Amino acid sequence: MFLQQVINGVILGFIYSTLAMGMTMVFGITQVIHFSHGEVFMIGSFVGVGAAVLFTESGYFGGNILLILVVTLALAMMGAALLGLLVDRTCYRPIRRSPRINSLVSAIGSSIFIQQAAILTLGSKFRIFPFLFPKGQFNILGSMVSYAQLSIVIVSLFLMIIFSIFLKYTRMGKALQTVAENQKIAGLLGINVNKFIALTFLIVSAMAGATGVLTGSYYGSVDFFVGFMAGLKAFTSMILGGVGNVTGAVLGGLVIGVAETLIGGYISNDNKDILVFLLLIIILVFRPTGLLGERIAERT
Amino acid sequence: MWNKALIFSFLAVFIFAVSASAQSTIKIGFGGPLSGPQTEIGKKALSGVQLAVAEANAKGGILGKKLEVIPADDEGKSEGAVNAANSLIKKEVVGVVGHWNSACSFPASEVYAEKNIAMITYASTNPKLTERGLKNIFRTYGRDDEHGRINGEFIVNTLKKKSVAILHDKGAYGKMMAEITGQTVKKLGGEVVIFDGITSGEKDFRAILTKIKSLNPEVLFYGGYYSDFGLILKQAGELGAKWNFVSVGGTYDPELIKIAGEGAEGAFIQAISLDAVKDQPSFKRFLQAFNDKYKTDPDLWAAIAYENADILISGIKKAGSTDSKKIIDAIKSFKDYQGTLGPVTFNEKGDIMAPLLSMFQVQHGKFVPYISGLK
Repeated sequence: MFLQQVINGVILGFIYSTLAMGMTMVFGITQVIHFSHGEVFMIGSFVGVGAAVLFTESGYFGGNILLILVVTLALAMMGAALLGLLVDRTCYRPIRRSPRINSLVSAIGSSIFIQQAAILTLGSKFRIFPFLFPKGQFNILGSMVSYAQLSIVIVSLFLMIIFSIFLKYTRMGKALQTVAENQKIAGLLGINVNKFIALTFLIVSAMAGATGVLTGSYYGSVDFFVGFMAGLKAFTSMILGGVGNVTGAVLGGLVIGVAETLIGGYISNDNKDILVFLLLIIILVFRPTGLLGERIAERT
Repeated sequence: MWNKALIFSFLAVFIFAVSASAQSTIKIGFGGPLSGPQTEIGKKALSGVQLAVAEANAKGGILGKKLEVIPADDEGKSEGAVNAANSLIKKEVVGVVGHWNSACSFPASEVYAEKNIAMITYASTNPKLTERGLKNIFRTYGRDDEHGRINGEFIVNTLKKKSVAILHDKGAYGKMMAEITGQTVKKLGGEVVIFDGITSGEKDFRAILTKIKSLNPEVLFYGGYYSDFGLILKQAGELGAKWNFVSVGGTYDPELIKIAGEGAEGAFIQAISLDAVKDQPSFKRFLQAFNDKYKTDPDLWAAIAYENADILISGIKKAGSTDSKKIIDAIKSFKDYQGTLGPVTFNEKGDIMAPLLSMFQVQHGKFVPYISGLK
């Protein structure tokens, strides 16, 4: 049972990680707590559910599930990326030079705006997300792992690795890091800061969209509320990992996911959330900058 | 001088016009979740109330006036319910159909009680709601203690199962259902192997389900609502659970089966049954009218909220006045009033005497009556 619980937790952790990674990237570059990241994820899920239902029901692509998954992912990533760009352009960019508290309000505001807009246009009903993974499961040391769970891990890992390679080894990625380091100097060096910030939003939002499709299809239902929940957990993971640190966000997500599952499975599911946040507070008392965080205070 | 008189007379006409327009309709309040995770339920219920009012208006209204529905969003939260109740009172409603959550009905009923305004809840099941001596509260839905007792007896006596795992969503309704069911199971000689809560709105319940699987119970009882229970059924199925599932009215919704898919097969759900009344002429007429107006089928909440609005309107008619105290007395005095779902008589506390309760089982993706008319 222990291994099974760890597996449950790791799957959950990967979902949190991918979102936390995006949130922390945005913070690293713009110092904005990107609260509407969860809503971008939600819209990704909705684009995904629309596409997936259309493709599966009307028999596009000859009913080839893998092909449908890929096309659905692509569409959801595009939709989410567009929304992410829009949020940056309308909510963050105009107040980029204002005090940080302004952008925080703007972030929360955009989150509420998108959620309410989704209720009004898409309705408050659940959407049933078709199952787009290979069916069945296999056995590891007596624990069941479904192919759906495996797919989530593979796709998440793939996205994370691609992203890290992009950051570390490409010209654009290096320029992005310069922007994160110091926007003014990056600007003096001839880097178009706004363009690179937009690029960041494009990338992380597309990742959130992909996660939206994976989780939507895995859990089988999507509603306007998923973004809020996911955003909250991603935010927590980001804080735990160390704000602005990409590896930290991944680690934070995994820790939260596994801690949540183990506490729920062994201690008390009832008090799970209290205990997880207690753990978070204890960790932050001993490591105020998070697990892998740098000391932001020095930099700003 | 002449000018002043003109202005005054204009003012007088204006004030008269405003006050006349304010009283030209009889206002019926609706309280329910119109935002948050339970939005869909609230909207459906509201559409039931709106239909009842539209029908009464089509017949020329009552007391020579038209009726109007004033919806108030309680967000499914206690704080929201107080705000909703105050806003309804400010708008001078004469009675309220609401609220849905027990957690909302408690504080809201206190607010209405101050102004002596009738409140008819269409879903709140917490027994204490009508045990506080408030004169203005009515309930057309069965109480938890009844539901819970019947659930416990069903598990032990009908299904002949002894070991039961109990989960709830930590809400007032779900937790109480779980507690009373658990007590009844124990009283009848059964065993509760685990009693734990989940967080409503989360998507992943594998942690607690994996734990329950290791405890190997015969039955899983869930107290809460369909959105969470749907995911629990689905994930329990994926984990290979072989238990009987039993749950309560809050999970009785076709969406449950859509969310859970094959995981819902065989689950028992005790609910007020629209199927039990589907051949009743009053219900058939309602069904037709609802379909004509909204082009969709009503759910349970829409039907009960419709019936409640009808009771309230008839109460106003019987009272022959919009005086809220007289309306309350009129509703109290109903004896076997022919409601949409059956005869309506309230006891001293305001509880309906004969709530319709049935046990359903999910078979081939549909709710099929398993036992009708549980007592």
